[in-house]
Amino acid sequence: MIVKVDGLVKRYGRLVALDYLNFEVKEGEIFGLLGPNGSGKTTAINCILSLLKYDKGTIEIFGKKMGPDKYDIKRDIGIIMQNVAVFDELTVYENIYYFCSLYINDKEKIKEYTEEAISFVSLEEYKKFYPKKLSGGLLRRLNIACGIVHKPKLIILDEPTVAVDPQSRNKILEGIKLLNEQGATVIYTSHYMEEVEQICDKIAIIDKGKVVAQGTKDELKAMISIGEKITIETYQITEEQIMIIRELPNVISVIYDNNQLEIKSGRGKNNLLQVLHYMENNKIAFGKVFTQLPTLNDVFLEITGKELRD
Amino acid sequence: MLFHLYKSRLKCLFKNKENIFWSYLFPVALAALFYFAFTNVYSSSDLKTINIAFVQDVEDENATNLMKEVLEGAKISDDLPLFNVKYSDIQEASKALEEDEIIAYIVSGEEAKVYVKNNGLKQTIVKSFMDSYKRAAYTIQSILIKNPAAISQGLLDDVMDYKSYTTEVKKDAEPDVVLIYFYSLLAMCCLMAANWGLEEVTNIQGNRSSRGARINVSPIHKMKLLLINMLAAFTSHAGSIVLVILFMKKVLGISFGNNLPHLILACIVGSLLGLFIGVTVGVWVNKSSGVQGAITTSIIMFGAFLSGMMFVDMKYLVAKKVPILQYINPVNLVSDSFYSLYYYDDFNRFNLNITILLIMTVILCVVSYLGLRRRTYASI
Repeated sequence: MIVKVDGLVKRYGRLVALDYLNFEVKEGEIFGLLGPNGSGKTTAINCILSLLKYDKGTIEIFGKKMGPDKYDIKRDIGIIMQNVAVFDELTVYENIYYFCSLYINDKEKIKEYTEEAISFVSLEEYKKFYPKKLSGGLLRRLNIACGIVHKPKLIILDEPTVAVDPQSRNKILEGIKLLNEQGATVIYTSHYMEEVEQICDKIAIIDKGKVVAQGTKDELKAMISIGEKITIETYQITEEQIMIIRELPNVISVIYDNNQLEIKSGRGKNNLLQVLHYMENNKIAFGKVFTQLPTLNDVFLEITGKELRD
Repeated sequence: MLFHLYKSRLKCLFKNKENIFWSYLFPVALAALFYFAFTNVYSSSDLKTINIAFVQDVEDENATNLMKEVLEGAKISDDLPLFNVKYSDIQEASKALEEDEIIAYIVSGEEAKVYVKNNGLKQTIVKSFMDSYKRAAYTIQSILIKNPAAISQGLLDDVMDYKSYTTEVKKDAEPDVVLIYFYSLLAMCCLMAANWGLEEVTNIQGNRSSRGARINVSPIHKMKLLLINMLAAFTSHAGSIVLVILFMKKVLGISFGNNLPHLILACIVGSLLGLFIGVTVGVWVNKSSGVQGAITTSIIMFGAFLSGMMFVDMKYLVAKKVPILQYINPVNLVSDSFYSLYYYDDFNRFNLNITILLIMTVILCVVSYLGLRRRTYASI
């Protein structure tokens, strides 16, 4: 086990930020912590890193109890914070070199690792640039390079793609995959479910400081009753007809809004066919039709009763 | 690698334009301002004898005669008296003042009073002179209450005997009130290292900045990194002190005596204490960086005020009313160290000041260490 969090409690006065949080991260995993803003993701990360005091619980990293003076554990951790943590007065190269030299003593090795990190985040052309001259996306890449330059075994990324353009976001996500393939275990926190679905092997959904569900994305989706979401564009449907669709077998809910009929069905076959068949028989004209498998947002919605983005 | 960390930090500090302005340019500008503001005010070469009137309003002949003697004895230079005293009654004096024949008139009494028509340099000189006279009279009175025999033991002679006061003073050192301003300014500059100390400790605290958080997660010992960063800050600060000393000495012609090693020692100790004041505020004051900065600057500026940087009489006022403040005000201790180097041949006073400064530094160093070691934060 690379990380084991057991019964973690963190309170800010009366507010319980972490409420007996439990999860484990195995070696080689990309572990996603998914939850809305304020759910306790960053607090959990700060506790894991011994930046923050906590009230109860234990945290083990690499099988050892973590603490502020556990330098041997810290040596193998790389952290990429939500806010860019670099020196404005140093160039791209100098920043990466500086953070590498906090971990490694060998000058040649630092140079080698710095070059590798620059190449990993594709900042070769910007080596001599100062951070203020970089765009938001490039700055995020520099932030990542500073966090991974010393080749850590455990990389913790706390919302690394906030306010990043799609191109840089893809680059960052590809990079994380690559680091994982190279042997690093990754903890990735985000409130973007698409990102977590895209890269994480195992996901813990967190709300109000508690893990409300965890497993692989398929395991999580299997936990809920919705099997399929059908969306049909239609301009002429009556309340009575909507009621009838709602009574069809396996239909869980029907919402008609903005000329879109959204039907959530349980697991099973022919969900779409039976709806289309009813509409044809009742001469209800319709346009575009598409179906979707449930998302992590549906999982979150069913478990907590609210949207992930609330 | 430690040297590289030191070099990188130094580069960061020198590239921070705000820091450079406040550390390098501001003290030089302030010194220049002091020079133009004060040097002319206290320069004796431009002064001319001031016409005043003296009105006797009490029966106490002794007191009146003493005051007359003092007024007539005051000199701008060996052959130029400070005052041209005209003796008259109050109506005449008032008329002479109205017609600008005199600058001020003094009415003797239990408490001598000075009357002026306008504000100005000459009026200020008369007023300051009388304030000094009153202070001296008060001192004599206090001694006589406790020891009436002192008068027969030559108290007045002692008070009037300027030579006896100047025997400890170096032969080549002329008492110069302007120096207090410049020494206080230099002392304040040394103590302003507090801002560097505050910045360094902010940079390595996980709850203060993302960089601090990243540094806290790294395997380098926080104290080791803080020491490296403080060394870089000290280097940068030392540069600013050298610049301001050179500017004062070479451009403004301010004398610091002839004891360069001791002057440097006082600057080093003052700067070290400044650094640790900043570190202590950064560690123990759990407020925003803005509030921490304001507290640090206030401590130094208030210390500078009490040491006479804005108002030279404050130094004497503190010495008279709250003497303990002299020994706990770091700005005063540093400026007094400069002053004692300039005025005295022996190092007793200098050594006392430096010892107190070193004790303060060690205390703040320990207090900061206790606050920083193995620290995790209640909130980030």
